[in-house]
Amino acid sequence: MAAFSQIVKVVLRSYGVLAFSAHLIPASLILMATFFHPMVGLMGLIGNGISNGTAKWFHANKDAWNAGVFGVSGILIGLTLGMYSEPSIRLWVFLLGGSVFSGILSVMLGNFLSRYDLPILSLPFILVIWLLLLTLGVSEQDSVSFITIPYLRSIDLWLFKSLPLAVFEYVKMFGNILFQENLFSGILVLTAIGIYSRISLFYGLWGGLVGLGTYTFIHGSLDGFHGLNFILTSLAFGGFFIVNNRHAFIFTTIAIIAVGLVDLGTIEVLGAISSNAKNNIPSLVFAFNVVTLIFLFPLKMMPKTLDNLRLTPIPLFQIRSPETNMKWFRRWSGLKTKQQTILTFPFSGEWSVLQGNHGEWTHKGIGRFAWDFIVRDERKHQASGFGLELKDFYAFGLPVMAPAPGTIYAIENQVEDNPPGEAETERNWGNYVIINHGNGEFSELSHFKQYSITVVPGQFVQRGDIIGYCGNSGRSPVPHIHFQLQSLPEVGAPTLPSTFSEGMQNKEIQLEFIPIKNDLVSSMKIEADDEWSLLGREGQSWVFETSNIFGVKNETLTFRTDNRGLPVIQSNESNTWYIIDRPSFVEIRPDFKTFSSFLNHSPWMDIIGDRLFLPKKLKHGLTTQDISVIKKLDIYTIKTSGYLFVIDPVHGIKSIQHEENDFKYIRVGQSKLKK
Amino acid sequence: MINKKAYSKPTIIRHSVGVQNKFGRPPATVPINRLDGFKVSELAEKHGSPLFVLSVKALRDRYRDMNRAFTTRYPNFQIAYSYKTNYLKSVCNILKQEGAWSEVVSGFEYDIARNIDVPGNQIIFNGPYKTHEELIRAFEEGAIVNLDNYDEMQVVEEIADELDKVLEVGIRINMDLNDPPWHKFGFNVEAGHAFEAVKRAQSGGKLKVVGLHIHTGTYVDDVTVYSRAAQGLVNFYAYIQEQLNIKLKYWDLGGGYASHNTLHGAYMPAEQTCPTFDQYAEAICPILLNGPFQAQDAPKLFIEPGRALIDEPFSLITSVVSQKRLPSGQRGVLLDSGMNIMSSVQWYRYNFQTAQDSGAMLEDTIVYGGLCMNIDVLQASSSIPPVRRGDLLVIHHVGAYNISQSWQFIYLRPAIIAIEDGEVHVIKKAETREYVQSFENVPDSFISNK
Repeated sequence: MAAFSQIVKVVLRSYGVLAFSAHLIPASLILMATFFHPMVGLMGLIGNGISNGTAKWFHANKDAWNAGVFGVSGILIGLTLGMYSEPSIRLWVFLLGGSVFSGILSVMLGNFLSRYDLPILSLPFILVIWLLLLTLGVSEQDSVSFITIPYLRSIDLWLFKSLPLAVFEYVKMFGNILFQENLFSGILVLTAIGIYSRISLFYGLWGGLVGLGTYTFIHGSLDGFHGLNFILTSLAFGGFFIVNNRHAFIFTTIAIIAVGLVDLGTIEVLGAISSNAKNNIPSLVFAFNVVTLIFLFPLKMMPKTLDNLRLTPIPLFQIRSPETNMKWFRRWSGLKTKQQTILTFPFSGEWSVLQGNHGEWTHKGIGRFAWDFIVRDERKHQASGFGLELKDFYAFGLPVMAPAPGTIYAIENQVEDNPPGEAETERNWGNYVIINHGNGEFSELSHFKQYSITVVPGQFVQRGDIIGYCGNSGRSPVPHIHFQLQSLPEVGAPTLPSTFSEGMQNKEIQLEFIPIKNDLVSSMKIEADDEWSLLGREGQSWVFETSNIFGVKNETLTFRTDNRGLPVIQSNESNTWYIIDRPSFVEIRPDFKTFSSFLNHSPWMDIIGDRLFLPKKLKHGLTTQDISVIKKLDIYTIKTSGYLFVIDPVHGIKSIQHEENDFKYIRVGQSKLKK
Repeated sequence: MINKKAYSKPTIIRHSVGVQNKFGRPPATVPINRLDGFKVSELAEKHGSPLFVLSVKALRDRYRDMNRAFTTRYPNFQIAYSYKTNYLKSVCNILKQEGAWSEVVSGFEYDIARNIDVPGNQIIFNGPYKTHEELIRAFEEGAIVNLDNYDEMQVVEEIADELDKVLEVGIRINMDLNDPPWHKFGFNVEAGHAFEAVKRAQSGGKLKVVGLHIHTGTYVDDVTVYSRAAQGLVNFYAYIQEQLNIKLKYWDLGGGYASHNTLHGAYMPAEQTCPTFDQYAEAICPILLNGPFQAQDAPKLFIEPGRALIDEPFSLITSVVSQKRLPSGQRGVLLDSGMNIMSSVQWYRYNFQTAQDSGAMLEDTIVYGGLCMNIDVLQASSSIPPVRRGDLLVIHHVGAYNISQSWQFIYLRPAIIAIEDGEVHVIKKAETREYVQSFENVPDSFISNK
């Protein structure tokens, strides 16, 4: 029974996907709209079922299948065959074959495009239907095909006569998505969009408007105008694949105009191909597919190059609506850092910040997120004596260490050191090392002593490995270390805003912090009494028990690794938290992308909140801004963000309690490893 | 009333102002009339003479300077202050404040550290003589214990049985680094004893070797000795890692770092020969970091400085008791402090500087201590301007050993003050007869009848 309702849901959702909606009510409205031509609607439904079934049979991606993306092409094939061909036995056979084929094609394209995190859209439909129509031929039909249901047909005709043509066309255009040319379909589709998202409604209407304008401008008249490509493209970019903001609006508008060009061009090409057929092969949604993929590709591949366009921080198949996208994006961008790399200081001991981010001398423009570090003594001097020679400077010749693991990308080792007070402005970066952290982020360290670099390109380095020695080469008047994180491997590439993940700032333990000028900074130094690890073995679970007025409830947290090999904790099958293992702390960060629904709300979700840090190195009396540790009889109590974590170094978290209310989250067991 | 000056017989002396000889420049004749902002004469008047004066800022600066030099070169570094050089409670507290751990060599010193709340796991327990009870306490409190010999190893194995757990220990090793070699402590590497000792400790099943300790000597102003010691440690670690699969948690380079005091036999003054902490660190750290490990897993590096931290911050104010001419014609000056509080005169050639303007006419002088003992000579030959009875002299860099080795003999020991931020704190009162005799007991039968 559950399986049946699941199938019904998926079939229904496929209708929603047609208008970029994941909700069932809008999906039902769209389903209804297809049945204004009952026979066509039926063909769509059958196509949908067959496509989805085929995809299931081919073990398509489960998430994608549940979202209904494999039914889209089937529906469209059904609808198109119904609209463009005479009913016949041959037609039903074509529907059957076409739907199966499009199901298979969807799985194949889905696999291929998911490598680039791109959607399949209705690409399988386009490929299959053109083949079918070339064989089957396109039958002559009215360009305005009114509803065939008798009573509604008369209303439709009456509205056509009484409404201003522009308004009629404008609303009717939304029915185009389903290849329908009547006002009722348009109204139903518009309503469906309006129900799930006001932003999408706006973009739909805007897309139609711009589309009308573009088409008229290029084509000279409204003859043969179909709004579907414009509307679909507008919905896709207007808050669905990218987060809605004014930049997204401009981007979307450009995409809509591009659709006009592609569509008209396609019609011409198709006209030439199908010159022998009775009628021209329709261009259908080809322009939408092509433009969407072309415009999405650079955003997906180079997410950090376009600063103001933000991709939706949610996996494709779990996007709900532009509104939820904006909400997740706000939460996601509310996190202090988005950097992937866990950065620690590239040196040993206590150094002083000579120039921080947005520095007064050189950390400006694209180089603004950088730091210069020097060593000062108790008198705040950088050198002993008068500092006339480089060797008088404390920093000169000190080891420079890798701030995070990675592969050496490039080095420069030949630049001679400047005498104190002089700086070379020709080879600004002097001797440098660039480390590729393998996550799209690169560390650049500069001004090494000549011939002091101890690593070679291609070499793998661990955090803290010595990569060279501090010098005074390049644009450096006094020996110092220049450090920056950047998104490209070239020397002098734009800097990324970054934070040091853990360390001491003016003798206090800090997490995720940005040292400023004159700060004394050093790597974390905790003399731990004990250490523990949150990480469990793959598949291992912890069972926690909570009780409230409704009774006792269990929550199972399972340790897994995600598809990038990163350790995660999973609860309720889908909600996921990253476990980020730092040198002295462990960070638990929700993967908001996986929080598909608030129905899956859990105590663990409340406890962790937007982000939580727990010290791995346990020491009685350890305190940071919002963490304090107390040891009693080998059991540690960590107080943080309003909760008390009771931790046994050997077995991990025993219980979690709230400081004020009587919330208790007690570990009752540990499930066996799943195979 | 007319203030009459004391008579002294006229003498003709050669002027040799500001001329450098093979022992370097003679001491500056600018009087030291203030210590950390306080008039020397007023300090002496208020707290008596002789008087030890600790400049707390100087102590903190020394510590921070050393710590900076090593931490910027070695990621996992810790200073353990050698208590024996000066275990005044205030000194130990200040260094604890600065982050130093404690290196103790006896149960008594261990107790001093625990008494000022140094956690057990921040104490390094060295020394060739540790009692059974002391060792039990150390292991129970998590202290780091470095073993000196097989007898001690056996005692610790017994303790492991008593406590019913495997104990983590360090092994003290020595190697030929200087002449004469320091072979007193630990097991010799060249002779193979050190490897045997590690193997023996490990194979007993009761101990786990997690540390190595080496002590290169005392007042070692040749940094290459430390380089050789560091290289020796790296080689030995690599060998025991390979042979016995040992993973070290720490290695300890001991003490011996020089201070700015000139040794008797030295050719050049210490100002020119004493290496900076940066030079020591540079000689040690890069070599150790080449050890058989990833930089981020580097064993903790301990060093155990004593004199290098504590010598400079202390000064002694002392006063001239009398002066005389010796039969040789040499001038003699007698001070109110003697070897009882200045034991380090055995190896240091101190500068005696006046606290008041005494002119620039330096004369070769023999400086006597105040003890009624012929051997009590503080300096057989020192250039000192003319001084009179009651004049004050200041001796710098007297912090190491003098106080902890001082003995109560003939005189009571003087007060010790500390100056920080314009405030004077008495950190040890001058001794009284009652204090000295407080533990004594005279049976009634010894007391003569009235």
